Amino acid sequence: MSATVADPSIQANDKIPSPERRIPGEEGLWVFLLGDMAIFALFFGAIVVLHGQHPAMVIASQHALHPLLGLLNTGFLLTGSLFVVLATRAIRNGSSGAAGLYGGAIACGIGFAAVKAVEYASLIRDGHTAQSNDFFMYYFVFTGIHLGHLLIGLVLLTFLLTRARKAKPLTPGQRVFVDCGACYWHMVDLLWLALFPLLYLVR
Amino acid sequence: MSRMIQIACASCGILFVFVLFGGIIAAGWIPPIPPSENATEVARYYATHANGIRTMAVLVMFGAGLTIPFAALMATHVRRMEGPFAPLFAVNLIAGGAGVVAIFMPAMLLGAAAYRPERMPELTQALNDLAWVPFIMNGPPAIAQAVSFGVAVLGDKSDRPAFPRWLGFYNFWVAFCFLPACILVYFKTGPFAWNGLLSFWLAATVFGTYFVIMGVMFIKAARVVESDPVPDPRHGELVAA
Repeated sequence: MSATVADPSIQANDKIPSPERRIPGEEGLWVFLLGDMAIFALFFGAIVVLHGQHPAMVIASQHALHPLLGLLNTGFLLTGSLFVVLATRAIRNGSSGAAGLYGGAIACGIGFAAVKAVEYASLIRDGHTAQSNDFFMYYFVFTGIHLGHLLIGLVLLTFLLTRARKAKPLTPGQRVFVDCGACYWHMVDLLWLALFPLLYLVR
Repeated sequence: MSRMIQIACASCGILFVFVLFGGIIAAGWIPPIPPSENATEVARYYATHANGIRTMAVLVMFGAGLTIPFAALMATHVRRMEGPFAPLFAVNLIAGGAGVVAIFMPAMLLGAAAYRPERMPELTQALNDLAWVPFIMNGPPAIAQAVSFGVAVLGDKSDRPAFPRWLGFYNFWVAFCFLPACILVYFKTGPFAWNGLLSFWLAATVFGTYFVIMGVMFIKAARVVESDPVPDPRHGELVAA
């Protein structure tokens, strides 16, 4: 992962990226982020099509879900994103609070994963698995892929936390990595903000 | 000389896409035969399209051969970007070799399945499953290949990198696109079945365009790499590539 830190062009001539730069992180990162979001758009489309084809089955299945836990998780991710925004600002300014803020974001992420595990366990205990019907198949697969993204995000945040603990100022390459990590985390948040209403709320 | 070899290896990857999809079209399998069909329907398809499926087996087999120079070129690029201690190069090379098997093996099974279509329908269906399940599901070699190449591109510290950094991120995205197909064994209908939106259409589109995009980038890189001096591992001094 640390390989992504190295930007040879920037490291070569120790210049700080100019402030008028419009794209956060680096251009290449957005190939991944937009591509990833396009795949999730296919997922969202699949859910909408299922709603249209089998409304009764979808609504009956939605009653088995736990919207309050979904809402709690939305809260975790929004709070986590706020922590990441503050941490990004703090680590750029070299202030000592950055590590704690990254720690807060990581705690939110772990909270999300824990709630998801409780949800999965409770659904499976009630006899709802990916094999039950198409709705639960989508539910488990799409939220599972989202959870996989979140776990990758936690690894990135842990890297940033260890970096934030060092007193040394950021190199320009590390500065880009800080932005990339933040962008990735916000994408995980954004995807959930679409996935949550589509799965739990839209009737 | 080196530049021509690089261009030839890269072109093999582009040619592979045409041979692969040409084979699938020869068998009439765009979209693929649905996994939900029963044994009689599958056997009837094999009986009426035997020669098309045999042609697909031959074409896809040679397609697998075409990925050998392509994978070798990719691995050599990884070694060049990574330096003398090169675990990523080994990952990429092993994954490339496994990728050849992943394409080659289903072709052999399709050839065997279409060889005697008059056998018991259940046997033809079993052979058909044995070919299609690994053909679409077999993601890990391609995922390991794309991720190791992507990491090498982003970690390239040379003054004049042969590849743009977006190509590294693009490889990560491609690896992600191969993930949904990994769960196709659980489904006979829907987007995750082997003829579905996320297992077949997404993976096939991304897989096909990946070889074309990488092939073009390798051809572009050939000029940069040829003029670049690289350290000779035997002498530890700079020699022209």
